[in-house]
Amino acid sequence: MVDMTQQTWFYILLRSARSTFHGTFHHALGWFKGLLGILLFLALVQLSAQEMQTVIPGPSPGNNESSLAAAVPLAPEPVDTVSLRSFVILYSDSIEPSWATSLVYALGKLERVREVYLWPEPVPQSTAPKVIAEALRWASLKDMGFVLYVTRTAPGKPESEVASREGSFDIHYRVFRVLSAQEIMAATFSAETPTQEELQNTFWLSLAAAMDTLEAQRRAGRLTIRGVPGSKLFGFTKAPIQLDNTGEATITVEIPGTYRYRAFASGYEARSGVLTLLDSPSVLQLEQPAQSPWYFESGALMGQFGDVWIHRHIGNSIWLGLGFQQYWIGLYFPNQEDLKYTSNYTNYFVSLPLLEPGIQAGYYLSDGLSLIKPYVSGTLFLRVNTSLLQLDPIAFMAISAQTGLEYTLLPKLRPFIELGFRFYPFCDGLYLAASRGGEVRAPSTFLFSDSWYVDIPILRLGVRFNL
Amino acid sequence: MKKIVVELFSSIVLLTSCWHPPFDPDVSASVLSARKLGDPVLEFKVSLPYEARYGYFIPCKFSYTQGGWITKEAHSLRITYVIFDPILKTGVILKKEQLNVSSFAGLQVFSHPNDLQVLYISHPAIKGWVRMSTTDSLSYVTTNNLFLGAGATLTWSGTEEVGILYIASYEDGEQITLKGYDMTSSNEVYYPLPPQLPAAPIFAAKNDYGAYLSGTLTDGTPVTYYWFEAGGPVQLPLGRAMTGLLSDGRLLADTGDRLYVYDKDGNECFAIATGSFKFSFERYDAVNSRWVSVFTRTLQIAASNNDEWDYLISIYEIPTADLEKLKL
Repeated sequence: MVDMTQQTWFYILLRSARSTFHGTFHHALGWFKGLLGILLFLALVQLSAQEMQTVIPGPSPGNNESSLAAAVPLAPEPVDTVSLRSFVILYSDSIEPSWATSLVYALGKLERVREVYLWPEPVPQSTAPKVIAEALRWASLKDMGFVLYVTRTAPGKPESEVASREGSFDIHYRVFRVLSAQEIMAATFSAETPTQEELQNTFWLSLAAAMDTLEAQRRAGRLTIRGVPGSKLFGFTKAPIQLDNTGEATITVEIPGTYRYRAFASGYEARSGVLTLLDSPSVLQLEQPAQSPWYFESGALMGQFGDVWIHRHIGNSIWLGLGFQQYWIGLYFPNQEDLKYTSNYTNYFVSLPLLEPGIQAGYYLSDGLSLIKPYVSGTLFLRVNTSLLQLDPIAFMAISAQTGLEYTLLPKLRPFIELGFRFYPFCDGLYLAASRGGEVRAPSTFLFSDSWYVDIPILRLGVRFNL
Repeated sequence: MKKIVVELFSSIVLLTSCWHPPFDPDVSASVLSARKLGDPVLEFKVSLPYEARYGYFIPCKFSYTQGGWITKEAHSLRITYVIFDPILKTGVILKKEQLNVSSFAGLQVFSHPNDLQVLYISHPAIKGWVRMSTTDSLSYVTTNNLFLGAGATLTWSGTEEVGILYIASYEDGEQITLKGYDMTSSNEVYYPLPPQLPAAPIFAAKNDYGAYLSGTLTDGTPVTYYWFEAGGPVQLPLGRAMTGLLSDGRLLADTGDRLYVYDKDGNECFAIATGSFKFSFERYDAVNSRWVSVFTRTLQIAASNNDEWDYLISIYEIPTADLEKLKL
């Protein structure tokens, strides 16, 4: 489900990018806005990915396997779940499926309800005890609070006697507490065949009122977490937990409970997981494979001129890099205007005698577990004119600043795209403007004065490998 | 998902791959050499129409605000005579000459030493020289025989500069012909045939030290022959085709990005980084009694969505004897 939704996001993104590029091809500023839009979209993709991991309480129709998986409560903050209630509804085959659906909505309207799960198949009267037992077992694994069984009989008759399809009837319901597997409530109310409006509004009121009296029960438990010393864990308590020098921490948590956690340790792969705690004490052993702090990065400035960088990560967020941007070999798509004159841009390959060694620093704006990680970075270049074999006499240096998004395609392979600008200080900008060599069709523009020059926006894409 | 990412990246590459980085080796080279010269003797910025694109300026001798505007297109050469108004930042085109050429090798622009608004242009496609004047129609000094090269020299008569245009040609027999034209009359000098004639002629001229013929052979190898008073030809050790003669007898080879200076025997002295910085001509400085080399730089600053682009034209001078100060 998550992947499908992300695909949809990317499809929307791609369509938007195409239309943006098409519509504003000759307008550099418009294109710039379009790229900003892309980054915004990508950021939204990330947010949506995070949000989708928090399942909204409600029924999960479908077959058993997929529904059971989807019904796992994934609330990242377990604190409020102490008083939240959750129900598994079983309905007998004498209950119309549409009635069962309306019951789900009736319970869903209650306050402090975390989740309502509708058992996927109606329960035949003859197998009710067996299915209720099965539902209790499943509910205990999934941290559900109560199992509600609903059936219909002729007026005044026991559960075993099925009512006719028309006229008045009785609704019997029984409630089981999952933790104790004990029946804690049983009641009956009489009713007439409801209209659609009654089903939506009033039919289940008495049952819902009874359910509203139930309270979830929790208790404190002890969890010991073991992993790399110094690891930081998020998700069990409001404040992050840090493992001590021995790589251990023991905390008090509510059980039963399901916790989504994230663990970070410098030099190790970040981990995340979902832990359902039923017993106390429990132990969580983190598997944290060591991760090289070195990365190799290869990119293409404006998709044309390749570059190579080596990064050294410091901690989970910062990196420093060393590398170079080259212009010896570049791609170019000449148009008719380019082909008309003799210039540097009459071929599919461009070669310019310029090499820019540089140093780089970057900072990730999200943790190591995000599928798409936004970051900011800055680079300081020296511009070596390899034709004159000296620093370029017009501009000997350049500074670039960019913001980017890195997508974790594989654990060690991360494509990225970034957008920013390049600033050339200490130069006569007029000479750099003249150095562009004609009208630039790429959707970027430039500003200059007699002491600086700016190229904006600058786009770069490429891939990073963890060594 | 991966397919979408690849598609997204490919789209971006296609859309952005028409960007020009702010770097041009020709502009950088020109700035390097211009710095060694100090301030230009004249600098002005003009806005010129579409047809001026990618052109460069070679001024006239007596007014640096008018001269030839040369545009090298993919398969043609366009030469116009322009007059600039640095105050209004405009230019007026008075004359135009279009040549269909496959190569620009051998292109020479020679500013008339005494007549304002007259330029002589040579190219192998012309097989000689064409006179471009703002007042008269185009006139040609060419050869009907096999064209072997053209060139020009300048001397100081004591009162004025004397320019002579040369055309080398071969008809048959054991001699080549070097015709000299001093703007009013011509004479011919004959030299023994060299062992191998250049397939692509580039330069031919003579001075007090002898005569020079330069070009490239069929395999592209540059060759320069030298006939001196006592004999010849001898092949000079130039690794490049010769493109000009300085008033002091030194030889020039302009490769576009560099101007190489050789002594009269073809030994390399030094190179100057030129690029957009064009050696235009020499002029005699009668006040200081010396020859001065004039360089012109034309920088083009493109404007988006506008046919009129800006051009910064800078003219620099340096005594020819001091050219080595520009050594790369």
